[in-house]
Amino acid sequence: MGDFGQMTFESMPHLLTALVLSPLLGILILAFIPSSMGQWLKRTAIIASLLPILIAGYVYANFNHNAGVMQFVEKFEWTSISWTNFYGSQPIPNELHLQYALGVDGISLPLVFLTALVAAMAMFASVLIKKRWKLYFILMLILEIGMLGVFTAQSLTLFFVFFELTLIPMFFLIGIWGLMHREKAANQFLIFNGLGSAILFFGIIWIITTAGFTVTGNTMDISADQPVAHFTDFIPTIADNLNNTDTIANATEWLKPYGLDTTYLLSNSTKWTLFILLLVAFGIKLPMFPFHTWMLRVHSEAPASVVMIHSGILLKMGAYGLLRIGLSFFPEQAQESATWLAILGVVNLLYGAFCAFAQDELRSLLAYSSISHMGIILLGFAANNTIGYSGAVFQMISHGLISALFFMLVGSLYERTGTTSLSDLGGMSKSLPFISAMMLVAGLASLGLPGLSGFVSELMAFIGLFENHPTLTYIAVLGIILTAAYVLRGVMNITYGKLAISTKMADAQLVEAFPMVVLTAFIILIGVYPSVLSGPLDQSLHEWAHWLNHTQAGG
Amino acid sequence: MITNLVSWEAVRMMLPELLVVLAITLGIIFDFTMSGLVRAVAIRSVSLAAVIGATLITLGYMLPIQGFIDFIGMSNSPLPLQVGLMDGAFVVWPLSLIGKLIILIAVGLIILVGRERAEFYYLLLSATLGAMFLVSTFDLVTLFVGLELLSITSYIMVALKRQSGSATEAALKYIVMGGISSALILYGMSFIYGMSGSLNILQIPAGIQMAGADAVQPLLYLSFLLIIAGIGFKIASAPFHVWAPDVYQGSNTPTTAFLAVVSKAAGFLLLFPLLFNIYYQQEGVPSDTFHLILKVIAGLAMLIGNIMAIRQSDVKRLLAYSGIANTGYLLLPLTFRITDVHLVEFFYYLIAYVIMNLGVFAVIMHLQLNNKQQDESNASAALSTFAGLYHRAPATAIATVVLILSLAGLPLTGGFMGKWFILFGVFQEHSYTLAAILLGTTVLSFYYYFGIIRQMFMRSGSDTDLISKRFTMQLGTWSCVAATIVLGIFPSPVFEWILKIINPQ
Repeated sequence: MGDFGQMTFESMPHLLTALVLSPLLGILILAFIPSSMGQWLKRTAIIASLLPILIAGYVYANFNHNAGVMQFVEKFEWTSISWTNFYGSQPIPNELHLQYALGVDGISLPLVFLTALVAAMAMFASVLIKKRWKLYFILMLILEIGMLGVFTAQSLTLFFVFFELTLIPMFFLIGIWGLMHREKAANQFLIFNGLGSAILFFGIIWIITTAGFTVTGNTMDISADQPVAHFTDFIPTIADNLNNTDTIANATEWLKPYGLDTTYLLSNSTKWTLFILLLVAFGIKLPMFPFHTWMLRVHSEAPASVVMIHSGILLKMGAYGLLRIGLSFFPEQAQESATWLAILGVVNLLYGAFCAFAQDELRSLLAYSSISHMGIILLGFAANNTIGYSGAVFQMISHGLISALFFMLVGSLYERTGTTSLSDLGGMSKSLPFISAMMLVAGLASLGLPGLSGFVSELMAFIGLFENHPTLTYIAVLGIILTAAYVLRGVMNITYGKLAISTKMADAQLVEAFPMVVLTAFIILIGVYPSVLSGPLDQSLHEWAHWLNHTQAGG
Repeated sequence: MITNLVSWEAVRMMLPELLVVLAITLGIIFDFTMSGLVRAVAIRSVSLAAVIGATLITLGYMLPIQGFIDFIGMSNSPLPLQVGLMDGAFVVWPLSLIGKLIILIAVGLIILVGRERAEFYYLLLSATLGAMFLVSTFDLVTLFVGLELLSITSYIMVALKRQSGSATEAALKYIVMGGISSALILYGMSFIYGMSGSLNILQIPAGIQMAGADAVQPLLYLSFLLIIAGIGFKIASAPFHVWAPDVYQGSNTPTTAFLAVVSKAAGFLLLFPLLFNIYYQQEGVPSDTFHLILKVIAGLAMLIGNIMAIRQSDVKRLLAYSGIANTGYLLLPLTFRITDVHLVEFFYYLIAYVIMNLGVFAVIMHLQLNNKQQDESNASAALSTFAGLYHRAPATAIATVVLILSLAGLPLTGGFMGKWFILFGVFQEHSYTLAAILLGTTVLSFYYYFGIIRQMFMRSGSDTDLISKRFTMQLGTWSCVAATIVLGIFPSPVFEWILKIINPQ
């Protein structure tokens, strides 16, 4: 199989560990600041959140665009256990290797940077938080560790650990600082995502005991070279095992005398089961159509700064996991189910758009809009070609930036008006010109105006999809028209429309305006100069597509 | 491979037990000769010292420390260590060493953290002694005597809260149910004796073969069912769990902790030699049926424990159901063919379970101490005693969060790695249904475990006073937290240590 498993080792060996654990520094400092010193807590948290941006920026700048492989790799055996197991009556040494492995390629790198950026911007937005700052900021930084870890982890257990690590702070953040029905929202978040995690856990252990299982040594003549059975959770090795016919043949051959034949290996139906399990597990996070109810509640109950992270990054963890684990482990299944993926994508896109059109509540509108936009990611995956995948990754980044900007604005708006109901808001451009202008930018980016990031991603996803599923593409484009309609309805109502609140309000303070400007800058940057993103992405996707084609041809 | 030694050397293998006996004797003498605070302090100190001493000696048997090896009179490394006295009536073997260690550490923590009247301590030690004998014997009669010593002292411990109606009710329930379960176990054992003509677990398989495995097969199944039902009571496994919630709720919290942790661990260790030496090893009798029965029990325990726990409003009742669910998790590795890796999975999760539960019970004792100061008669453990704990005692609240995350099986805790290993074993045996039940019920358990977290962080408590800070309680809680995190982040040393003890190369 080729280049996928190869990795380059850099001169700075622990850069990614430093990146993932960098929020820990802020946590330690915050722990020693008395909880009454609100201003200091806020300042420290904001400064602490800049550190990951610096490291992520350094990684981005030093990333080799021409090598599509994992870079900045760190790998050591975190848990290594050996024991003797009996296969039949033959004692065979078994070894379990759990890796601590981090690495970034062109797909995860942009997401790592997005995480650092949106998390820092959310810290700025958190100045509007009214109570218990110390705990709040510590939890936000723990959340950041989890998110950075998910996008850099290269072993299944580590990935799962970080994936779960985001669950715990989110429960607190929704349940303590949310609106009226916060506890209910926190519970629903916990149970739905817990279910997703459980399914993921099921899949991961299943994969480790099957695809992670290899045999070394001489399988023909045991006396010559004692065979050893290995279990690993290292993602590249598993991807390799899954698609390397030699490994499978070797293990099958070896297991035959023990009457175990294919039990340890993945039959076709097992592969399908695993693929569907992973699709559901990550689909809950994404969220995919029937599993989306929990995220509506989170969007409408959690504080705006938390939703920035939730909508901006946490949803992308689902998409990223599906890409990194689901699609790359089971490319054949992905290809065969491409039509279904595309249909799911279109359903998400249209359902989200129709529902968004009917909302009278800005937060709910944006929540449905997120569902709709996540549909485009699924469409990109379903396209099953480089440009489609590229569009999906672009969409992850673009939607991350846009929804972070939107919820930043929602927070500022709610702070001033005390409502996010569309019918109570109107004519804001008069009293809040800056916020209104930003709202307009976010809206235009969301509906895919050329020159802004949303356009690039949607265009690529649709071009990719058109190659394979032209009919579905036509239907999906209908969703784009709907998007324009609901976004304009919402945004225009708030910015122009009838003046609803006549009291004088102060426009955005510097601390609010700064993140809005930064996010807008990135939205425009990607819109007019997409190669800032496609630079690292292209080569990785190229390698990846090459690898997928190779395995499909070979396996 | 049991060497029969009736000598001073062999008696040295009984040192942990002898130390505990000494502490019990001293405790009773102190109770009658001293009074007031001196008595309480003296009995507590003697008990704690004896348990710590016994723990160190047990550790010494396992570790290759030269001075200690010389002392116990063995020429080489103490492992592999199998010494028997009186034809297997007292045996020191690897599993008994791990079992004793777990029991002693748990009892040590209970003594360290709990505050009870003087008689509690020597009763506790007597029960501990029973558990220690239980795990270090191959003789069915001694096994039963150990079990009864453990059980009968436990009945008294539950009844210690004399003036409380709920405690008396709990004690009555416990003694009736416990008596029945003991009788069932004894009945099952009598069948084993009848089939094999032997009381020594190691000789029973040969005895059964002599009688003809086919001929006695129905009796073998019958004895298995009787013994499983009896032990099912002791380890509080569904469907034999009904006593647990009431008894846990009615007892003093240290007693509850003892029942939830030591009693349960001892029950499992009683199950071990019976399963692995008699039922799973019987030539001519396929062990699938035994596996299947245990699988059904494990599945039921996980389902019933987790579903019932959701509706509880008393923490001790909640922990009783959570304990039933954990019994299910612990049973899982025992429902397959015997391999080293399944044994390690079992012990790894048992250690994690003991630690995280003791930690939570330490916090409950902490909270009740605070309640007692206001209202002597009613030291309840309602879920709302946790309300606003974060505001009253942030450090304790954070410690509790770690312990609860471990119970819920979330990452970076011992509970997570324990479940990881159990699942790993379950998948190696292709038992997908059990894996699905384990994970599905774990999601259910999030609801009630996070309910406690919700109380601590999202509700405001009635009293805003800081809760009393007792050093020993803090020490107990935080050692459990530290151990839980170490088990969650560095699993391999403990895993390999257990492996080395149960299978010395």
